[in-house]
Amino acid sequence: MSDRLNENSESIMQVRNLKKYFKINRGYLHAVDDVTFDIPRGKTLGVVGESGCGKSTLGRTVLRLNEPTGGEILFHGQDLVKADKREMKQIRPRMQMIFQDPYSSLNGRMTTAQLIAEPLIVNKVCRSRSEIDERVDNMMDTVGLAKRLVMAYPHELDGGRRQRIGVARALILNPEFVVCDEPVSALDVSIQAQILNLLMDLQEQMGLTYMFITHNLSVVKHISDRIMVMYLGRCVEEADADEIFDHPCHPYTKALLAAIPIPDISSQHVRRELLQGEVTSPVNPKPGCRFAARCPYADDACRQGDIPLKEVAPGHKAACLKAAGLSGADVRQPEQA
Amino acid sequence: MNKSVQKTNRKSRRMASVKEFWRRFIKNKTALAGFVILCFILFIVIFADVIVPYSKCIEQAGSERLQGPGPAHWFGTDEYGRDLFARVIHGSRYSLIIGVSTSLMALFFGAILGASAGYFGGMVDNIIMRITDVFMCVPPILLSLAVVAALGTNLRNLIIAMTISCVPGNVRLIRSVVLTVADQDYVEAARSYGTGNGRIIFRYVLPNAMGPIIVNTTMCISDMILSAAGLSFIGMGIQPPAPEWGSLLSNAETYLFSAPYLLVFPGIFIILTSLAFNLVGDGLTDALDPKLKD
Amino acid sequence: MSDNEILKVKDLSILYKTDLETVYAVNHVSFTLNKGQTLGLVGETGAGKTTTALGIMSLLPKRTARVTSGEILFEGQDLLKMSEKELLGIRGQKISMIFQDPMTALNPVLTVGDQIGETVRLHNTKNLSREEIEKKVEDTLELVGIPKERKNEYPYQFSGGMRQRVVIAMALICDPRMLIADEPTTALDVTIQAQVLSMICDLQRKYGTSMIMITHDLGVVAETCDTVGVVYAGEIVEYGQLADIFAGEDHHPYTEGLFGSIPNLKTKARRLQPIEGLMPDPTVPVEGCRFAPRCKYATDQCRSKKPPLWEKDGHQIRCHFAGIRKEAKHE
Repeated sequence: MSDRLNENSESIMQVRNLKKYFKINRGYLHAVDDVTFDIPRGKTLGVVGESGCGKSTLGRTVLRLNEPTGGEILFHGQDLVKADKREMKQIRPRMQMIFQDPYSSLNGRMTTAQLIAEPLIVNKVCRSRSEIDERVDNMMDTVGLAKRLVMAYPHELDGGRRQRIGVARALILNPEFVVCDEPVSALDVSIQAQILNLLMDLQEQMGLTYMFITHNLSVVKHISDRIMVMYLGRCVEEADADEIFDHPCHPYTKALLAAIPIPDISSQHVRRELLQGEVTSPVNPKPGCRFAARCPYADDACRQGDIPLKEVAPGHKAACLKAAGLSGADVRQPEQA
Repeated sequence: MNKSVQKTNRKSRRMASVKEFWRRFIKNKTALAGFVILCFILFIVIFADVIVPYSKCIEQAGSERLQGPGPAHWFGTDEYGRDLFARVIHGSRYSLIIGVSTSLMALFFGAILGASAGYFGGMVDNIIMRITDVFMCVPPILLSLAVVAALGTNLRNLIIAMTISCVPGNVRLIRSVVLTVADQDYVEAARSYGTGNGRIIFRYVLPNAMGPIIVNTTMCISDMILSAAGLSFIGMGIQPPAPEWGSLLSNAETYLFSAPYLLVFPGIFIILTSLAFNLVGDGLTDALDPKLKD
Repeated sequence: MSDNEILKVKDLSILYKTDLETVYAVNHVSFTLNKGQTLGLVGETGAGKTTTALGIMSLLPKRTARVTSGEILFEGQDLLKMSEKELLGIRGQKISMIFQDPMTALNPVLTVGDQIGETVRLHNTKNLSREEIEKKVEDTLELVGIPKERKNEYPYQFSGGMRQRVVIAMALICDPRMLIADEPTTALDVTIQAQVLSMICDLQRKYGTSMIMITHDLGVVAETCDTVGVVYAGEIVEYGQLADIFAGEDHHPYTEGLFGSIPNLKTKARRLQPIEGLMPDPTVPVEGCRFAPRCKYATDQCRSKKPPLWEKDGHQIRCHFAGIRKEAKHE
């Protein structure tokens, strides 16, 4: 383990073969299955996938809000899976989460100031009431919340301001690592852009490391340095942001890219290849590629044994037997459009 | 901007939230009416001895049996010639003490058990709920009876007995409300920044589950006053000749047609009390919910 | 009204009145839908898109909503002047609506076949027999890509995308002449969204149905619509052919803002250009331009005087500086 650390010493978060299964009546739901990634300090890893692909579970498990079924979560080299309650209490403030729905993630009985102060109080960071007030004031300034809103309740605010509270609450403990779980999905486009800009500015100012979970490919391209595409609990492709959009390898990534409606009429009415069928069940999955059932290129080899994540180009990994042959094939690609 | 001004401003606003609560409470006219009735009843409870001496309500006068309301006896007299007015006034003490204290205790235990069951789930939930189920199988009156019989009859034991019979229902109710609140995102958010379970339950879960709980508790008060009567009737409650509203009511049954006033006056007081508590409870729920701010 | 137009909305205003406040939801909205075409109404939450749709369907909440001005001409008849009975013959039969959330739009205790057939049974003008209705239900299911064997299943047995197909089947079974789709794919995943969108468009082309597509996604608009109305605070601030909005020279500042807010897959700009500020409070009547408080070009004139409608070849913009600001911008 030690050499692995040296090899990638700037990585703040290293996840190795992480698994999270949920036990249900019919067996095990493989929400996250054998996922491995590194996030270097100050960078953003985007995690994309459709609903039910396990991306939210991954985010929660990395923070150990869920107990992982197996694997390692190395935060600064320390394995969170093995950390006991006391150690976790020490680590918690250094990694935070921004939630998807700014309507349900804020306790409606607390005011803005109380909501933002709560992590400070819970972790007993401040010695006095006035210190808390000061830090809350500064944080409200940082995220762009007007002073007059200190006593406002969440229901009196619009989605954008609520999400600013969510951001403030996540950042008030000065964390190093933040999991953003669809932070802008519930917001209108114009507000969405405000929050995205805010997140990027804060990353620069505070040197934050993000894991950015979303289903929106345009957003993820915009904010991420590296992107991981998930399908049914598995990482199917991982590469730098531009690389994945310019040269998608995995048929699923291609389909996903082709499916985004693009607000540009020059590409209008181009007949594109649509993915048929729907996501299969993540309960007791069959061996082989999970995407095989919907994949236009799948053959028998795809349905047998595990498909490993293989490097197809430097820094570009894909879990597809046919990746090499498919690279850059017949899908509408951004630069061609 | 000068920080000090702003800080004092914030502190004063913290104080102001109590005032704000009060302002919203009294703005609600029905809640205010309930509050006024409640004050009136509390006044009677506290100054019962000043209004009419206790001796008057146990004093028997054979010559004045079953007299209707009149200048000598405002509410009339019962079958032993005791003054009903004095009995109603002094009865308020027992009734209110029983009603309020059993409800509050039932709320307290119900909240702790119900919230734990709903919040922790799994084993904890199973154990608490199965025990609750056992208690719920026994009719409440029988349960209280058994407890009183075991502990002996006095006011304290009566309250304990009635609390025990009331807790299971509360546990059930609170658990179901907590279940819906506990999987809200803000609870998970609280866990993500390291909030302990106790704080989550008392600061996040229970406040958001308060509405139905308050309503249930206020309804429980009037319920308890009436079940106390049941116990008195079979000699396990307040011992005669001490007056208590419930028992006044059950005694009046015999004379339902010949002396209906015996039923009417204690009845009015019981209705007023439960009405007052219900109105105040509703008002509390609304005033405490920031979403209903005008 | 020319023969080519199926729906013409003129100067429509709708407000919601409660004891506490009056919400000006739709303000003097006018647009035209041609036969076989798709009109996109694009805008953010609270812009009044759905209220407009409900207004056309005459489904506004009776207790609070008031239509204060305007007319809605459907095939030449004013829907606002019709009696409830006349409307029944139109709603669901000639105009039908696809709702946003497929999870709540279906009744969980009825089979999907029953629910789809319900509309036909209600409007059984052709006196179809039970078997004929069943046949029609099966045909419609096949049409939206659901095997007809599944008609006896319950909504919970369907995934989100499949449910939305069921909802669409319900809307299509009476062969409506006009379809109102209120954010039909917002609740769906991208790959499913692409399937459903292309299906809607294919069906529309096949049957020549006219459609109003309500969405907040400019991408969806670009792929499906012929005409576009950009809605802001209950007003159509820009209206024109698809090319006018997406490629034209002149734009309303809000339209520009909307485009600046979307992360673009093609450009590599690191920062987005959001529209600062928030939607105006819809309970306050506005003197000048509704967008003025958020507009970077706003002048005193904008704040005090209602902007006139600028028009060039059917491309309309409600801005004082439409057609003028362009030059200023290029300096």
